[in-house]
Amino acid sequence: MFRKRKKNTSTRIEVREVLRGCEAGRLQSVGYMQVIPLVSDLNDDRFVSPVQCDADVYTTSYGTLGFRNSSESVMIVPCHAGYVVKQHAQDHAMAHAGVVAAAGDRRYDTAACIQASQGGFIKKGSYRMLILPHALREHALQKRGEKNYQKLWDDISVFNQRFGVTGQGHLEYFLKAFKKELDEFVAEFECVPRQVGAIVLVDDRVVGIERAPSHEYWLSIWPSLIRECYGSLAIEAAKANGDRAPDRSPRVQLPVEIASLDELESLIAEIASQEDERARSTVRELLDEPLDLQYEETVADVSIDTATSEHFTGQVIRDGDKIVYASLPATSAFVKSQEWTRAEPFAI
Amino acid sequence: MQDLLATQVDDRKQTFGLTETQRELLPLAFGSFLDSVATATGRGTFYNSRAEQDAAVEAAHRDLFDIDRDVYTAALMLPGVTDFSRQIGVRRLLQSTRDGGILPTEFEAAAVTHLVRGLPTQRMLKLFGMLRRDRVNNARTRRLILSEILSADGLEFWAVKYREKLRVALTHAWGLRTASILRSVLAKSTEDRTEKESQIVRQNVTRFVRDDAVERVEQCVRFVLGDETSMTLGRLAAYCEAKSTFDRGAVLPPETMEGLRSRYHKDRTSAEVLELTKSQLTTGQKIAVQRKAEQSGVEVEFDPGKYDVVRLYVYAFEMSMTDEIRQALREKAEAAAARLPVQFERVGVLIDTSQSMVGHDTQARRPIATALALRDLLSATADDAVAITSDGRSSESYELVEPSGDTSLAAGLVQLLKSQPDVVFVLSDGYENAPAGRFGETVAAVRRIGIQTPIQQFTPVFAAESRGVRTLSDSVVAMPVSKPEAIGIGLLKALIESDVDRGVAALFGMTKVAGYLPAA
Repeated sequence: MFRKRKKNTSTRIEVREVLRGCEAGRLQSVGYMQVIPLVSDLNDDRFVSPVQCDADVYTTSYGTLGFRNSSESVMIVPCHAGYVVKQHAQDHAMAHAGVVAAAGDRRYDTAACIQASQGGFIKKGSYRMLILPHALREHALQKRGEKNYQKLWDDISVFNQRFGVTGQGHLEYFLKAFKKELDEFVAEFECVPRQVGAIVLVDDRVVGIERAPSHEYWLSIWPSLIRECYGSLAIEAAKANGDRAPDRSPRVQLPVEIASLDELESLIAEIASQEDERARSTVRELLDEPLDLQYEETVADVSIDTATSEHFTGQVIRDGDKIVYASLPATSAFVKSQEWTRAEPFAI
Repeated sequence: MQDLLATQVDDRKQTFGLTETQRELLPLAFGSFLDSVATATGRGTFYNSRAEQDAAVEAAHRDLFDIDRDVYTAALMLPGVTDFSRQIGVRRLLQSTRDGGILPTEFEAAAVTHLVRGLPTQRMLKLFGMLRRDRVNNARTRRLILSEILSADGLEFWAVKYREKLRVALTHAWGLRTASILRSVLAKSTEDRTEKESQIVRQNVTRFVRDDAVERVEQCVRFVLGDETSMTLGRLAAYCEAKSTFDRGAVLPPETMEGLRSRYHKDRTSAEVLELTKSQLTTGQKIAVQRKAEQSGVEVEFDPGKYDVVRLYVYAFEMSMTDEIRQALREKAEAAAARLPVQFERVGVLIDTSQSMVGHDTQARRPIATALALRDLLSATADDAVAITSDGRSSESYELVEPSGDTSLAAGLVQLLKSQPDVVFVLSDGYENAPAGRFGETVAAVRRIGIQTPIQQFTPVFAAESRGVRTLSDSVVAMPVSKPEAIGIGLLKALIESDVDRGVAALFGMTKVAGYLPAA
C-alpha cells in the first residue's frame, strides 16, 4: 500500500481544519498545567495506536525502529513515540509520525537512539510507549529525514542539563529523576466522554494541540502525552519559578468576603462559566492560524504531512482532506517567548 | 463521629509503655499505614502501577512495624483490613525475630494464627508461596504452614483444587528431602512401615492431625505429592477416574475439571464442564461465572444475599441491576447502619463520579462500587438523606452511577450544605481537576460564612504517590475505606491523629486483644 508521490508538495490550511468537528470541554487545571479537552461526535475507528493494538515493537539496528501491527486496522504511530525498555538495549524514539497498514510490519530507519552509551537491540514485544518531551520534539522533527541514530544525543544532553540531570544523551535519566512528578501529571487529568483531543496549556499559554482519530485512540495515547511530552514542560515551568511546588489553588480564586451560600454558589458558577468562555476563546483564537503542510508520504491511503506555523510545528495525518490525526506542539521560540509567570487571565 | 470509637475505649488512659519517640512518630506512620491496609489490594489503580503501589505499601508497613510490632500486629487485625495487607503483614512478622513489643509474646503467636485463618484459602496458600519466595523458613513458619494445611477439614477439596500450591507449601515446610521420604513412606501401609518411618510420619504429619483424620490426611498428602495410586477418598478417586470418564468430574471444582478437560477430553466444551460441575461452585465463583454461564446457556443460581455490597455493585455494573440485587443491597445497608452507633437526622452525600473512579482494569469499578455502597450505608443512618454526584445529578440509593468526566466537587458541596444536613460525606479518590483546589477553597469560604457542618471525606483508593489517601482539602480529614463495614478504620485514624494513647487503646479495643493487655 506504500505510495510515494509529490514529496515536498506544500499546502496551506488553518488550525480550524485540525479542530473541525470538535468543541471545547470544561477546562481542567492543576498546578501549572491546564488542559482544554476537545470533544467530538466524529469517531473514526479505522485507526488504532500501538497501545490499542498491542503492537510488537523492536529494533534491528541502531536507528531502526520497527512496528508489527497484528490488528485489522491501520495503525498510526504517534509523532515522536518512543520506547524506554528494561533490557540491555538502546532505547529508541521516532523522529516523526508513522503509519503501518493493517496486519503490516514497518521499520523506520530514521529513528533516534535516546540512550547514548547502551548497546543492544529491543526484542520484539509490547512495551510502554512514551512521547518525547516537548523540548526535544522540534529538534526531532527537524531531523526527521536524517538516518543518524545519534541525532538527538546532543539535544538530550542540553535538555538534561536544563533540569540539572547528569547523563549525556540519556533520556532515561530525566525520566528517572522526575518519575514522581511525571506520574502525578497522569493522575491529575481525566479524559472526558467523547474526548478526541486536547489543547494543552502551561501557565495559561498554549503549548500544544493534539487531535486523535477516535476516543479510544485518544484514551490510549493521552497518558504518554501528558506524562513525558507536556509534563516535562510543566516541570520546566516549576523550575523557572524557583522549584516551588505548584500552587494547588485554583487560578481564579474566590473572593475572601462571601456572605452566604447563595452568593458562594453563584460565584462558583460564574467562575466556571468564565473558565468555559476562556476555553472557548482560547480555541477561537487559534482557529485562523495558518498551517503550512509539507507532504511526506502516503501509506494505506492516508498521507502524512509536516505542519509548521508561526507558533506550532508537528505533523498531521489526512485521509483525503480530512485530518484524522494531528500533533502540534508549540515551537521552542514561541515557548521561550513566554515568561513562566503566573498569569491572571481574568478576575471576577 | 468519634463517639463511635469512644464507646469501645476504656476511659482510663493507658499508655501501654509507649516511649515519647513512639508517641511522636505514631500518628504519621499510623495514618499512612491505615490508609494502606484499608485500601491497598496489591494491584494497580487508575493512577498508579502495581509496582508503585507495592513500594508505597511496603514503606507504610515498615514504618509502623519499626515503631512497635505489637501495635502493627493489632492494626493488621482491624476489621476492614484487606487480605493483601494481612498477607504481607504476616510475612513481615514471620520473617523477623521478635525483639521487644509492648504486649506479651503469646499475643503475636495468637494474632498470626488468627490472621492466617481469616484469609480465604487461595490467599492463605498465596501467603505460603510468598514465604517460600522470600525464603522464610523458621520453626514458627514451618509449624504454621503444616498445622493450617494438615488440620484443615477441607483438605480433600483443597487437594484437588489447589494441588500444586499445596505441594509448594508443604515442600517448603518439610524440605525437599523429607517430602520425598514422606511420599515413599506414605505409599506403604501403616503395618509395613519401620519404626523410624513411622516416627517421620508422626513428626511431620500426624502430630498436626486429629486422631480420626489421620488416614484421610495421609491419603491427601500422598495425592498432593504426586502419588495417585489406590485413591479411595471420593474427590481424589474422582480426579483420577475423570481422566478417562468425563462424568466422574461432577464432584470436582470447575477449574480442576476444566484443566482435565483441556488435557484429556478435548472434544468436550467448557460449557459442558460448567454444566457438569455447577454444584461444586463456591459462593464467590457463582457470581463470578454469571457472564460465562449466560454465554454458555448454563443456568447458575446465586443468592445476592451472600455477597458483600461492593461485590454486588461490581456485579451489577457488569451484568445490570436487578430488583433482587437492589433488595439485597437495601437489606445489607440497613443492617450495617443499625450496627453503627451513630444516627443522623439529615445526611448529605457527595459522590465523585469522575472517570478515575472506574479504577484500574484489574479491579474495574471497585472504587465507584465502594462509593455507592458507602452512599447507601450513610444514607441509611439518617432519617433523611440527600445524595448527589459530582456532576450535579441526584443519586438514589441502590442505583448505579456510571463514572465519567472530570472532577468538580465544589458546587455539589454548596448544594448539599444548602439543604442543612447534620454532616456531609464526600466519597472521592481525592483527585480534583476542574479546577484543583476549588473544593478546599470552598470549604474555607463556608467556614468563613460561619457554617460549621462537619465535612468528612471517605476514600476507597490508596494513592502511592501520597503514601496514603489523597485529601481534597487541608481542613477535611480523608479517611480510608475499602468497604462499608470498615468505616471504623477511618475514624480510628482521626482519633490517633488527635490523641495517640487514646487511639492505641481504641485499636486494642477494636481488635479484641484485651486479654493480653497489662492490668490497668
